[in-house]
Amino acid sequence: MIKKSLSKFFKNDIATISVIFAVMLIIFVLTSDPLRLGFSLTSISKDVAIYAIVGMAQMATLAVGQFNLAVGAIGGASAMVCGYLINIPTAGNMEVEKYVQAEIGLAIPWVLGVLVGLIVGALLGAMQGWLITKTKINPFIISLALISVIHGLNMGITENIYFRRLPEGFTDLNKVSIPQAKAEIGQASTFGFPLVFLITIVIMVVVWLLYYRTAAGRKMLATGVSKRTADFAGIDSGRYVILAHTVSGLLCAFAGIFTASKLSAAQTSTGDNWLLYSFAAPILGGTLLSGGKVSIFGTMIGAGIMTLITTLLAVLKLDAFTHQIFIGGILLAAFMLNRARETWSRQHDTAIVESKEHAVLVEAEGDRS
Amino acid sequence: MKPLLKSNSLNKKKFKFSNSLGILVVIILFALLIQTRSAEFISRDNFITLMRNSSIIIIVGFGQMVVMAGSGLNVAIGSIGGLAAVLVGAFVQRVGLHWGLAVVIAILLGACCGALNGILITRLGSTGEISWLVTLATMSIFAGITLTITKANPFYNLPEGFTWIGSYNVGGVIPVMFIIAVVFAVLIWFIFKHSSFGHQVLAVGANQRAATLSGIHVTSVIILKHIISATLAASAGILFSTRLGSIHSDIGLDWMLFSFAAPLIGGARMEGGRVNVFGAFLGGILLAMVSNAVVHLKVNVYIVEFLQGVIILLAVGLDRIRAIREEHRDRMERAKI
Repeated sequence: MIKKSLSKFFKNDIATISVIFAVMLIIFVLTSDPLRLGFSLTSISKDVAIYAIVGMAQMATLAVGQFNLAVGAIGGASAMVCGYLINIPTAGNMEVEKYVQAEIGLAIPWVLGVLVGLIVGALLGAMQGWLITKTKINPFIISLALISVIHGLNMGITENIYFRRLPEGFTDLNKVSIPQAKAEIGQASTFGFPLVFLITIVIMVVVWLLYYRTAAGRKMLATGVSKRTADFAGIDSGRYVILAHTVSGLLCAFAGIFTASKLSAAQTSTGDNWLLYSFAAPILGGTLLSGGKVSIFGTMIGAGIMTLITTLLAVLKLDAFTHQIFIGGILLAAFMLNRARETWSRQHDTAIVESKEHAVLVEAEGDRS
Repeated sequence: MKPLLKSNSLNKKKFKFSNSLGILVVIILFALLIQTRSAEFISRDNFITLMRNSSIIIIVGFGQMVVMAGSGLNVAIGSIGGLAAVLVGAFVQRVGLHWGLAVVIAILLGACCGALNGILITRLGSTGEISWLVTLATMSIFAGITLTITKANPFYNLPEGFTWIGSYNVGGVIPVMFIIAVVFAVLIWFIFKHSSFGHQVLAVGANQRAATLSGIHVTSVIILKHIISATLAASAGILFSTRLGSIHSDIGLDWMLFSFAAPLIGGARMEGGRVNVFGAFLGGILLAMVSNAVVHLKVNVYIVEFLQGVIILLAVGLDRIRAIREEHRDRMERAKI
């Protein structure tokens, strides 16, 4: 009985990883300096926000049974476009700093700049989806080539400068939190939800509504379960693959712009290390690699686990070079978990079918007697 | 009765549009084009540089092609190369081994990395998707081990015999590295043309289920192809460091793109089942020429990455067009019957 309920518990996607997350959070709280705890939790939640969005960007393509390798490249490109639009150019002559700091910039209202950045991300995603569905070339190689096309163009056009005179309202997205987190010398710091974190929750709700309350979302999931079946059911699956990539690109752009806001600088290296996180977060959270199933809250928890692990490694004073080993290991563990979940869900499906068949048989027996 | 497919005429047509010939023409045209802009492009010194650069790309490309042939990918190819190079440095300078022995051990350990990849992939479902996801994870692990060994510090002052490989030119014209690349090419060609293992890899790539049903032990084929791929990657990493004369921990970080580009330009199929050893060889040379030309034309270096992406898209696009045409031709022939 206990064994059965335990196995049921572990087969629940959210429950398992929530326990892991809670344990890690407790370890973190116990090991860190109580005076700085509130402040470090505030700063961790900024990272969680970014990785949760990156994870959802990957989740959007996983849902239709595909991948988006260019998450980082799209995020970086959107951040740079947004940075160029909202950067405030300096008046004086700064020849020396020319190659370090961009003097150029259009200084348009930052909300507009962010909007254009988001549109660029969505368009890049749509382009990827279009290339994949229309050319029918292997999606992996298209996505891989697009990384270098987008990243190369980004580097080539900007010559690897960075924009760091961003307007205050834009950087406030990360600086302002509710309630305002304060760290005063000698006093315990307080925790506050940063604005980016709250915006991320809004984005999560919107994504949830997309997948669970709109026809388009259901059709994307149906395409993920089986493209052929979706086609037979009258769903124009190609269109929904393009839509999924567009959503993915849009979310990448959000993450890139939030990173720029966090660093108070838009730089071409934005998104360079996202790829592993982008897979780890949704897969830990319960999104299936084979497509057709998303888990939005799970992705958030997965992002939380990934962020806490890197933070814990730093707290435990482990060599920064070993981080990569751990992240790779977690990703492997996530794939194993995914494999187990796929088997379970198949078993679950067969069990349902069998029980239905059994019910039909029993009914038939009853009729005969 | 007419035969179902006129195999004879089909083969002739295939020969006409042969990939290798096409790449050769592109290489020559490209060289002439660059020569008009920069007088030093066609010169002995630049040829030697080109041969050295391309030998690394060729070997790495083969490493990817072997895996690709059996419907899979090896994203960790660069990090295995970097790890092997760093291991040589560590064995020579920290343990004090002879460099020859160090190279052999490093290549063997590289092969073990490949075996690990193969075992994990076969345990997790052995599809093409799983293969690249697993190697994405192991890439991070191997790169982390490389950094942990070196702490990001390079190894200098390597033994002379070791750097000789990367600097000596036979007859003053042909680098030793290039000869090694040619030897690898012949070996790989032999594997795919004349060994049963090569045929098995191609069969698995063409149709994994059919391969299983015809009695091929798919699991061991997948593990073995990853071992070969990792061995090639490790050799390439070590060769690269003989050329530099020092061993850096960032060797291999930028290999992923051209590892795919070389075999794809050569005419290998991304989904597996088809390889072209000579084509991949020429593809490697073409890629080396492109990065070299960027230096000669003094254009923005960042554009190389963009160009590589465009070249990959062109290569797979052309391949796709060819496949559509072939399909169309098959249908027409069948319609005639």
